[in-house]
Amino acid sequence: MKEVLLISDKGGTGKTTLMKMMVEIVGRSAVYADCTFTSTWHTFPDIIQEDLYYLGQEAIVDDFLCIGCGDCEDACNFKAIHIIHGQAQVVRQSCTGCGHCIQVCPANALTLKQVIGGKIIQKNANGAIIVYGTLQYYPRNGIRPVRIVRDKAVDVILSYQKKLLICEAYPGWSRLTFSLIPFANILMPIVEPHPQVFEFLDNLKNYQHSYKSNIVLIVNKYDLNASVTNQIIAQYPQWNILTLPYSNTYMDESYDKLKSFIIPLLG
Amino acid sequence: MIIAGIGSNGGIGQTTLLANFFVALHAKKKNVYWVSLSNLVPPLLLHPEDKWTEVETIYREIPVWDKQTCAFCDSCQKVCNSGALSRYADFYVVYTELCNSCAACIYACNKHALKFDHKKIGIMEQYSVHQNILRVNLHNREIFGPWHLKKAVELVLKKFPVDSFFLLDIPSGFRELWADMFNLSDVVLFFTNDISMWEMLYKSVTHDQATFLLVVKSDVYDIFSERGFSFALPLPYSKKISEESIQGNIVTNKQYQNVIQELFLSMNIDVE
Repeated sequence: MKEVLLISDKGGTGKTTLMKMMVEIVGRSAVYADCTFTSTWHTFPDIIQEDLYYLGQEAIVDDFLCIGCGDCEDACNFKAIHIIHGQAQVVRQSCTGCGHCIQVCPANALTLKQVIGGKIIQKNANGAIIVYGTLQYYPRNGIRPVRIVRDKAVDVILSYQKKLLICEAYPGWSRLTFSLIPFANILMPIVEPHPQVFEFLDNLKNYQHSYKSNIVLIVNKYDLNASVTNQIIAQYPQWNILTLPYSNTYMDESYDKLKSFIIPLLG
Repeated sequence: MIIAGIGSNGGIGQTTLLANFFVALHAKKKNVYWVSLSNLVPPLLLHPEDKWTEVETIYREIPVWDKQTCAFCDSCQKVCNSGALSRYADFYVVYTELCNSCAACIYACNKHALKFDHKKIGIMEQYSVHQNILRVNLHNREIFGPWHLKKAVELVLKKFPVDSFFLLDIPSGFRELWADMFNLSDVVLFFTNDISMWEMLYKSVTHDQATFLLVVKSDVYDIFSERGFSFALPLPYSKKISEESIQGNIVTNKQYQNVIQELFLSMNIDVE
């Protein structure tokens, strides 16, 4: 199995647009995984399968057992429990599921419940399979279950006996990207030629220096800032670089350009 | 006054609008600060020759394990629900990035072998010449969450005069910050081209939260006004605007500048 990962330094460089172009170009020989939890796939109505997944825990109060002593309110570090009319009430948005209130409760009125994080949805797009996730509940420490989506996509690949996985990661150079990068055979960063882009590209260069993964760089909207584009091409000669022009619709010359560039790379 | 710029999806141009608004406020001799919540600064406000200086260090409370007093009972590991504490042969490791500072392990330990300690997770930086441009630069293992947002706002308000304008730029894709942003800020510039998302937000936002200023792309303005949101400000977009934005120039489009003037009026900012 070959895995391609689309990453970018900031939002809106065109990852999702590129992904949609790839669905058209590569088609049913690949499985597509969108790990960003921002659903833009509603244009494909054909759902194959939906799975619920759990994400973290939260405290729930048993109203019959609660004596309203307020020990849990004092113990909570996140101000997530309040005593209202002699009853403890949990603020769902603030609860982290640490379970400290359960240990201090003298009446055993509190329990931890697993929280449904959202759904992993598999969709059919003209024969190609798209896997993406929805997120109903956001954990307080910012963790996103990106690996759940990617692992589901791998299951799909194994069951349908496909050979290629195309994955989309969160923008930025953070832990949300690091959890997907080690699996990728081809890293496909998509950047715009803005002046701060070199910080991101240098990070990638250092990463490649130690892990030896293939990098295919796509400079989107290259004609907006020609001087920075030329600087990128001059500074990273060891990478395959494709430049795509600014456009409001994605079915134009950049489609043909991408098609002739990407097919030999993916084999 | 805290003004937050939120775009419904990435690349829509909320940073460009906010940066141009910053320049307009600055030209009117207002006391205004730019706060980037990632290490990226829009090209308009970027000064490559200027140096970043650290103004504040951001600490988080992380448990520290002490080998001398520990009895190796494993109770801390059992109690940790985020999987941030794990035992190896004869030592425990606390993973900062997974810990959410809930203190469950500290209370679970009978021997007091775990204690909270300040751990540096990032810095707030400021340009040394253009002192009204700030950025929050977190360690890349830390993900910008609601806790970080509250901390950043708290630090900014403590450090600088409260009556000045603070423009907060939220990186796209972090939607769980929205609810906290609505509570923390006074004005939210919401930039969208998605009518269904705006209708959902419009129902859920309450009156004690921030004032909303809706900005839409000019080609979808008709859809918004048909549904009863004719107060939306239509913002033009073209290749020239993107070009000016990415090269770090002020947008010269007349209609674009009119929208910025309208923002002044709707925020009751004294232009004189």
